[in-house]
Amino acid sequence: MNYLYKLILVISILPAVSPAQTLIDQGRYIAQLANCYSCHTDIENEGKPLAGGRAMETQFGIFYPPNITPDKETGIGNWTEHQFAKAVRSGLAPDGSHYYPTFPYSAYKNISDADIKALTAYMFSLKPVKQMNNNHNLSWFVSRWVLPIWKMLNTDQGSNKSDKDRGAYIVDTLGHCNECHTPRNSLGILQMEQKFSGNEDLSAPDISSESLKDWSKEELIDLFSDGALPSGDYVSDHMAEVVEYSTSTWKPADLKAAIRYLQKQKTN
Amino acid sequence: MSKILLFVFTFIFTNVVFAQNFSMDFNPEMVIKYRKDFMTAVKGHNNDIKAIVYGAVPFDNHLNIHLSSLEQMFAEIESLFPEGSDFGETNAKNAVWENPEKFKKAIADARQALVTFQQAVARGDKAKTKAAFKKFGRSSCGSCHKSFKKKQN
Ligand code: HEC
Ligand code: HEC
Ligand code: HEC
Repeated sequence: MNYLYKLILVISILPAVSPAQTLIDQGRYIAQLANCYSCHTDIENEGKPLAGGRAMETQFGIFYPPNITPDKETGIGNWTEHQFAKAVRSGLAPDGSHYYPTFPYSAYKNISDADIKALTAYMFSLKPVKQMNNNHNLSWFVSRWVLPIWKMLNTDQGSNKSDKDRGAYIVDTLGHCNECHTPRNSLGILQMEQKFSGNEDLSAPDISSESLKDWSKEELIDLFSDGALPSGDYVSDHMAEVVEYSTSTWKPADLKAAIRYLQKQKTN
Repeated sequence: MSKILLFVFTFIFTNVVFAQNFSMDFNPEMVIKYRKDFMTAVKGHNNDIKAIVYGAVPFDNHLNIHLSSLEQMFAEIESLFPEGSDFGETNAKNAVWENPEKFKKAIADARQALVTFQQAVARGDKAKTKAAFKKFGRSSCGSCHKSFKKKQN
């Protein structure tokens, strides 16, 4: 009797968080590390989170990242967990067609099973938003049938150290920093032998360990937390979004791991 | 008599000088250069505030110079972006002119963030002032640059 009483007492004191809720919270954090929000939300026009509709202008035309809320008609509400994982890690749609690599699945391919599971739980816990997708408006030479070939050429991304080094996992896989900071050739293939040496077309600077060696840890923390540059200017545009919706939400230990990785990684 | 004449003369003359209108024809290139220099001056004040609140320099008595300068300069941001100054050597995004309401809100937010920071300074807690400085930069400079400034090329 006494035992039962104590048990009830203990249970009532424990925070009322179910394992499912914990998984959803983990998934929300994965989504922040991977910055799904930034592309899939029409931020400029105060669109609903993750309901799509933002115009992404690129050299290949205008992409409209789709609605990824679990709405059954206009979002991904009818998808299975397996289909979702396949989209994010392999760039494959449920009907077997290939996604354009503007969706950075070539970085996400190393997302761990546990993280995909949490991300799925989070995505499907969201409130469905009914919002039709726009068709991409692409140049005549861009079409889905070339994508399998493109994917074969662009296999190099995503650190294979990801499973051992938390910093590499955050920077290369979830944070998909290569997408902007590593140069591409004319076919849009990342030139990994020049990893992080910058992409002029995107005005994304060199962030190789060589170029970051003059930055103090404190300066890098100020950048990733508040967008402040050592010069006193503040980052703009794309990187400002990366900071606002992603890096400024990273847990201190993750931020430290990412900075350690950035400052020590070897370039050729 | 001659003294009075001199007085009248001087009066008219100086008045002419003060009434002179400095603005010439609207020259968008000059306006763009001016506003970049203006922003660079904003950066200078902001950097000096940082150096002071981080305790890197012994100029605590300058803090108000920089704060009131920023206050006056933030009040002028809108006027730095007239119609027709949206092309050429500018890193301002088109959104400044396409979405003027949002731009005005970014300015209002920046001015509010400055007021909040000034209150933190007035309370005089060093550690909290440092944190408030970071927050100020993020929610004024950072937030406006996110929506309205491109990276320079
Ligand atoms: C850099 C921009 C960008 C980021 C970041 C991004 N996506 Fe996407 N995503 C896209 C684009 C563009 C498409 C459409 C690709 C196409 O049509 O071929 C897309 C498509 C998708 C689809 C397919 C939807 C459908 O209706 O077929 C899913 C699911 C998806 N993204 C989920 C995510 C998740 C989850 C994240 C974060 C882990 C994420 N995306 C991050 C740009 C992005
Ligand atoms: C969507 C494109 C994009 C992505 C993704 C991106 N960046 Fe950036 N980054 C930029 C641009 C553009 C700038 C220049 C911003 C400015 O100065 O206004 C920049 C600036 C920086 C700087 C400052 C460099 C300097 O010398 O001023 C660092 C460091 C940085 N990024 C690191 C990262 C890391 C780490 C990631 C991954 C978490 C990342 N970036 C993801 C586009 C991107
Ligand atoms: C309400 C919007 C807004 C606020 C607030 C703002 N800026 Fe700016 N800033 C801009 C825009 C827009 C430009 C681009 C101007 C251009 O290139 O024509 C700019 C440009 C700059 C530049 C580059 C100047 C050059 O030579 O190209 C610096 C440096 C700068 N800002 C610093 C700051 C700092 C520091 C703060 C905060 C203390 C700040 N800004 C607050 C909008 C803002």
